[in-house]
Amino acid sequence: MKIGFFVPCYIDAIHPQAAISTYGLLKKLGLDVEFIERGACCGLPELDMGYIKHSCTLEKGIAPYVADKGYDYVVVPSGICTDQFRDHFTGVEQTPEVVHFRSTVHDPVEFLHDVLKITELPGKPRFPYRVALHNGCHSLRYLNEARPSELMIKPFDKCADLLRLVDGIEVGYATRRDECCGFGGTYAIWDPECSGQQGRDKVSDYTRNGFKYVTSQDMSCMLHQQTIARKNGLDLKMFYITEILNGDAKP
Amino acid sequence: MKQVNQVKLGAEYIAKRDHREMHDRCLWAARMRRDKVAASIPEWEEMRELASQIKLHTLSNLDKYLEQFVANAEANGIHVHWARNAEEHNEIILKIFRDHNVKVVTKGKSMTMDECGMREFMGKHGIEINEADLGERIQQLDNQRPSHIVMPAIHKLRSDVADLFARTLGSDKDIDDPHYLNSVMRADMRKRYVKVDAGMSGVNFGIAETGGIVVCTNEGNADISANLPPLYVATMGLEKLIPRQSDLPLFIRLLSRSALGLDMTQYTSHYHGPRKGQEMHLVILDNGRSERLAAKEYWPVLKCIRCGACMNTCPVFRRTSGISYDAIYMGPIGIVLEPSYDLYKYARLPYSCTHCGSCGDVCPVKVPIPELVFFWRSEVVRHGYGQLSHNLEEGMAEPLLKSSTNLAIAEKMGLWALRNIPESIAESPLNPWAKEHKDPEPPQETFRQYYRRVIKPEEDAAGTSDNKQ
Amino acid sequence: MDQQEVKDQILARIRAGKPALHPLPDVPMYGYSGNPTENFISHLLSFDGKAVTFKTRADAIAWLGKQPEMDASKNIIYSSAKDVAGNIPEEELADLHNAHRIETCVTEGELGVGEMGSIWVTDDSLGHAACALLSRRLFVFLDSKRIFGGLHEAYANIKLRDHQYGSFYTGPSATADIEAVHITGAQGPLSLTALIYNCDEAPAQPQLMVNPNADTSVWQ
Repeated sequence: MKIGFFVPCYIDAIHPQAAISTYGLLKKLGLDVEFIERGACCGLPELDMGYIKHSCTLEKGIAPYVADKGYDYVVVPSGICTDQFRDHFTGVEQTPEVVHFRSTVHDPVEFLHDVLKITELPGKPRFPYRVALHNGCHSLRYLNEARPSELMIKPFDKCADLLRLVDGIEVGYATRRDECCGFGGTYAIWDPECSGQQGRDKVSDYTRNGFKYVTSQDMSCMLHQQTIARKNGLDLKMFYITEILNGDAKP
Repeated sequence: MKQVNQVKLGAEYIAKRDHREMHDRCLWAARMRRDKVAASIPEWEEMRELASQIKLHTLSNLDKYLEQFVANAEANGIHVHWARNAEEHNEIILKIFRDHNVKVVTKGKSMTMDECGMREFMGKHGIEINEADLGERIQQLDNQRPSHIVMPAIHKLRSDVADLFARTLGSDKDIDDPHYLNSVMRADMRKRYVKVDAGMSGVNFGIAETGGIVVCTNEGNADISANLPPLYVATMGLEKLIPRQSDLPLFIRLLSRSALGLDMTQYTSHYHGPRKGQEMHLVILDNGRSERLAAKEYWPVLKCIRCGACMNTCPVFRRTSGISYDAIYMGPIGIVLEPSYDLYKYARLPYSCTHCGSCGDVCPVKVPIPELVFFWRSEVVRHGYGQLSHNLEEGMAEPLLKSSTNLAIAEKMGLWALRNIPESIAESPLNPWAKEHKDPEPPQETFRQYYRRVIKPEEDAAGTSDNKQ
Repeated sequence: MDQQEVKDQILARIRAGKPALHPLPDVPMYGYSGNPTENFISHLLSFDGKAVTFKTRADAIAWLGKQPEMDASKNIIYSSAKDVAGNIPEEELADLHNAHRIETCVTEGELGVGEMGSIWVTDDSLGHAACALLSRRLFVFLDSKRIFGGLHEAYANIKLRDHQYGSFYTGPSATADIEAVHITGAQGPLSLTALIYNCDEAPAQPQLMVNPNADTSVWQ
């Protein structure tokens, strides 16, 4: 099984630890992983703003490196970018390779939970703390990684399942457990007041519930929340989920 | 004409802490009640799917159902009128009122009549339209549009209403108990009911099979307006039809539970003709709906049954209020509906969304609002109505992001900026991110750099890397 | 342009632009679990409605007669129930605007819905609907044998087209338009009391059942 590892631009530049931990975890699981060095932006910010032409150009630029290299799976440590590939990567010709890529691209949670179906973590990671789990909106409602609270279906939560494999961890949630934190891609720049208000409401929900640590499968939410918490002087530390799963999270 | 700037108006509401917190609390509570009652119905998700299918079917066969509906309605004794646009709608009703020498009207809530500017039009022609719904009445007295489809004045504090009623209805300005304020409104409305010449209402559903309309309210205002005076005029957007009586319970079971988290509206009323001695008129309004039906990208927006559930769940709407959308239809449904009326004026609305997707999940008829947001953003750009800042940013971003070499350079520059630009500049008003965020701690190196420095040499040494790109 | 032309133009536009035909699914007769009468009462109370159960209709009439709202010397009463007398002269109602003077209205429910606590009333059972809508206190008779479990079943037992006006009344008139504070008596009746008869389980002494958290503001 050959795995392509695609690192989104914002992870690469702002929080590379998410990629380091994910890569390390995949390697520890004994997988044949190849870092897609020629990967660039997946086109999400452009699509998000409505610049279809631009996002198509970007998609065309990276398609050869993600779709044509014979990967069985491509793992992307970011829910929003995974969803971009799966649901919106339509600016390129839908060759059999592209179709295969779009159906086998996964974020680490899906890959570990649904493809590998792991029941234990390599290296027996330990994190003996109460951690608030923030299911990012994209992972929740577009990648279906947990039941959104408004859907009347059987409850499930893939992130929580994986986190519970970590020794000593106690997984909890904010009171408004899956309300959007206000990042929203370019939204945070477009509408800083409302985005910021949503973020403040979110981080104060954690502190009201006594959380000091927060984790998510979406690092973009974590960066937004972390920087808002810092601005407001709150003692909260945010981790990408694989940082905890790979034993890299430092309290 | 100026573009509506929801961001700016929203920021004004966000700054009013008491208002924002009350608004968010009330609407979130409605969302929570909705979750609770929806969970009590085992077939809830199946019902949403069925309701969506029935609406899609009806819209795809709308000419037939309209003909069937009108034939049955006329057989029931209802005078049916057709209006292509708001002006025709208003003229038709004005003529009916003149023919009956109408002076005083009481009216149930109708988004469709709001869409036509009917009340202002009648006011200019000397006909007194009294909104009978409490929230709508508050908004009328304050010369303001409704801020929510089913809770028109929910953005106001009780003290705002107390001030308003003191000014307009002569109530005691020091008493802001909502019960007192309601009793003031009730007493005032009673004076108007006593001399009402005609009643008006909107329509929640039209039933093709029976030729009747369904109107849902909690106050009974539409019922009084319809049953008391000798003339009753209703307006229905032509998309409001459902095929059969047996389809109706499905929609009724979804409507109020989705809207307010209540099992039923207190008055769920069906009109199949005038009562003895009364005249009943129904105006069927197009106003762009037939055009929308022909638009293959967004015709499913016509499925909307105007429950407001998308507003209650929307994280942006709850913090900024419906007033900030400066439009007839607000919140998630508004941002995908208003651009179809006027793309330039409402070009910024589709950007008032974080893509959280919750609106699509609560919608009782599965209007694909999240997808439509993407569609309208691309339309805005296609027509050149994107913001200058967007254009600039995107013009730079494309060449920057399309190759990994450029990306690597950009990332280095970004990292350099994160580390070296003094906070005073990074947090200047020129950087919108800095308004609410403290810049992230800069990492020592990017993943690419780390990969080349640490991982690759290790793997090469161990002979495990086959990365020869 | 005359109305026929406008109608033809709108329909032609729809015909030209409508999407490909989607199939029409059937709607199952969804039920609602639990005892219909018990569900009816608990749901009606949740809407701040009140309820009393009786073994017979005669018991219901006897109880109603003792209520202060039915004191004909003090109240203007309208009744559309054949076996309960009102005191407002019919000729006064030739102008329905006079209905606002009515204190108490007694009327007939045609069927009930357990799922919501709703009572189906029509122009037949109401007499003048305006009286039920403008009165301050509303009493509605309901045969417990006519309470259905779910709304689908209820609609299956209704002929909508036979009635100019038919409505499900679910508790008294209400609003939550100011800070979402629940208030009864927005425009219509301040109270609605269901008199449920043919109820085998009714206690010997009739008990008025109310929502303990009901809105009882002095401003009513």
